[in-house]
Amino acid sequence: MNAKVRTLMNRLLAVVLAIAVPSAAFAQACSLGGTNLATGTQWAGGPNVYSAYVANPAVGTDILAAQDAWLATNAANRLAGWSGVVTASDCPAGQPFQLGLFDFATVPCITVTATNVSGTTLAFVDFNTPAACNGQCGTKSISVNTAFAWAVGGAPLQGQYHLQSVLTHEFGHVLGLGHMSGGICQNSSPPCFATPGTETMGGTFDTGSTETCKATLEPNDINSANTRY
Amino acid sequence: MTRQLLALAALTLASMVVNAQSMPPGGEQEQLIDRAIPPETMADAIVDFLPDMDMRLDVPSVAERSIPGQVTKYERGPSPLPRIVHTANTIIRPLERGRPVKLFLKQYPGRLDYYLIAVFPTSYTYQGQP
Repeated sequence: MNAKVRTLMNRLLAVVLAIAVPSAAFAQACSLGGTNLATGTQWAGGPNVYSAYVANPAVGTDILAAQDAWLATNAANRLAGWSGVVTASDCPAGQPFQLGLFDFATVPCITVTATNVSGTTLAFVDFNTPAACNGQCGTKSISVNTAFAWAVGGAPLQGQYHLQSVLTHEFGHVLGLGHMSGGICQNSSPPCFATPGTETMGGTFDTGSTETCKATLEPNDINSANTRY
Repeated sequence: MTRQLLALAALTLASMVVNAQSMPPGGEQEQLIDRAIPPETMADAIVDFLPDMDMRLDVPSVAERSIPGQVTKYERGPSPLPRIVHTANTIIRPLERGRPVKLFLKQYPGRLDYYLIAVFPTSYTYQGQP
């Protein structure tokens, strides 16, 4: 296969960061435990649970950078006071973290976990809304699938994923944002942020996977968050 | 027309049942899922592999590490396979000694060695091109 065809195939096979699904199929994954990536605190879970932990400052730095990206928006007030990552006790009292119509005033907690889930789920956000809350409280968490290789603190090689970029995208979901329609981040010259369709909340991800540009918000991302908050 | 309406009603009812089953007792749990590209569509080599030792690949290292073990099945790529490497500053699921896994690998640009892009159970079902 020549290089041109291969490149074309890579483009065509762009990752689809897609599909907002209240999912029955992934209900099982909801019950899996995980690991606090920053502190290494391990949570309870089922037999398929990722059994190790990551206690590495570089990982924590990526998580916090992903969160901090959204401080440039009106959602900053929702993030203020949040110490980062994250055990239940870290959740800031009196700092409601709003997601769309939901007000997480009573359990304003975000968790970032590393979970080994089946299939080609790259990352997901859980929204748990106890019935007693009547839609006004709950928890949410971000999980990344450790079956894939994640570049920490730097650019990935082809086929690997940039942790900070994906987490920035997931934090957008936590803030209540969906996917924007757009193209594939080309991650080259001109810089990806100048290319239409490269928003952090864009629905696709370049598989060549040297892509890192989703770590930086685009005007459309900022406008979208500002509209909501 | 009546048959179509009945079918629609049955489908709606079935859908409601599935959704109800997905909710934990006493509340509602939803997920917003982002999907990865199936690793088989990107891999230069795919092998079943039996690790010789436990390796904490979930802990990033400043230096790359060789992955010791035996290839038990070649699905794609050269045989024998050159050195398998865990890239510096990356994390991926840990390997356990004697527990077989399916490795998806890319070849380093300008090198013979291959690096990990995904680690799945050997029972992994291909989502993309085999």
